[in-house]
Amino acid sequence: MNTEKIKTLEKLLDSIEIVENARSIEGLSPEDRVQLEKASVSLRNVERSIIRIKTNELVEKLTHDAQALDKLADEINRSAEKLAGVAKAIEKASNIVKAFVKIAAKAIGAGLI
Amino acid sequence: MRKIILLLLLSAFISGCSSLSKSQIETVQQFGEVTSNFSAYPSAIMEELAEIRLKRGLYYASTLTDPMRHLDELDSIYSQKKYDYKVSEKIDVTFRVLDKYAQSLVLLSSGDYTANLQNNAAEFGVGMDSLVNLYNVKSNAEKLPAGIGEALGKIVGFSGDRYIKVKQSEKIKEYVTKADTLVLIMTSNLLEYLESSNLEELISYEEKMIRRNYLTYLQLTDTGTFESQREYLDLKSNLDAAKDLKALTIQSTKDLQAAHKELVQVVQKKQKLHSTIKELRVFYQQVAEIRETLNALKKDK
Repeated sequence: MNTEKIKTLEKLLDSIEIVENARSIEGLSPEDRVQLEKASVSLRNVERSIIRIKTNELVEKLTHDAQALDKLADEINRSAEKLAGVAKAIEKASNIVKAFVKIAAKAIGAGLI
Repeated sequence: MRKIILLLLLSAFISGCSSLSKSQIETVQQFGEVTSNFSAYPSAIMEELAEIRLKRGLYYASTLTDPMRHLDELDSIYSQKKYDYKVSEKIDVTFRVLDKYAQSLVLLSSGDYTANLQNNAAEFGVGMDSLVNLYNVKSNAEKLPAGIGEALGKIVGFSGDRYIKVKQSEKIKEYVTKADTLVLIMTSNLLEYLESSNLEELISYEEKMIRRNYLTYLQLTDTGTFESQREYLDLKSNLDAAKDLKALTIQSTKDLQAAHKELVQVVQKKQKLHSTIKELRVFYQQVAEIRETLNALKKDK
């Protein structure tokens, strides 16, 4: 039994039902019980393979195209930083004028101007 | 100093340039804040399915009589769990790009750039006025007009504020418009994923396997303990939550598409917004509903 033969989980479920119901039959010989348990485990392995195939298909479609938006977000962040830089520069310039005003006030107070 | 003079000269020019209204910028900011955690929703569905797969797998493993097969099955369950969480992380990383875009919009539309500037300009005005008063007292020359400092402070504040707001508006318009196609592509991919037959099949399979595995457990081991019965019911309710989450994420992805489209319209128009735009409001409500469902799921664990 392999994933080539069973491609859908729905079909797999039919096989699982048959094997699991058989495992619960009372009076099975120990040998039959072992064989059924082995078959049951094989089916679970096929199940995991199909789940992985289906999940991979799903995720592949999703991960495309995210890069372009990621780049744009970086660009926006850089612009925001630049704006903050401009605001800081204006603030700095006005601080220099403020300091100049203070010096001038002291100079006037001391009669130097 | 040169920058201040330049700003004064620019102020007349800048006042003619258009900037976004306060309500338009607030709309961009609000959109960014609500969208900031969107990435958590698509991956939450996969995480929930992974958790269900693991628990129902444990019921099955308990039915195996051979210790080696039992152990191998537990190892396989563990390896599947690692794979499932890797997938969920991959989805998460993809949609964190949307979060990153939203967070960058919050940063760009912030009002902090000019808040300090206004305080500084006001202080500058007060300092200048004290200087003028002192000059008028000390000097015999012609008196300088009182209140000139306040006026100068306002000009400095206004020019700086206008300059930054115009630049901020230009950038918001440019980026929101540029991002629209990218947001559309990403959300369309997400819708394709959420509405695909593969995802539907995975959910429906888990629903059937919860029951199948628990039945095998009941048939081949002792009858269910109180705890196992309770867990079986929890698994069923978690699966219902995953289905709800899927439906809500589909709706909110569609709403996100519509809301971003509307956001482009909002930043391109020269207008004051008197109330929240319908498309944005619907999207915000939808996101709130998803959060509730996710919180309920977390509470169950």
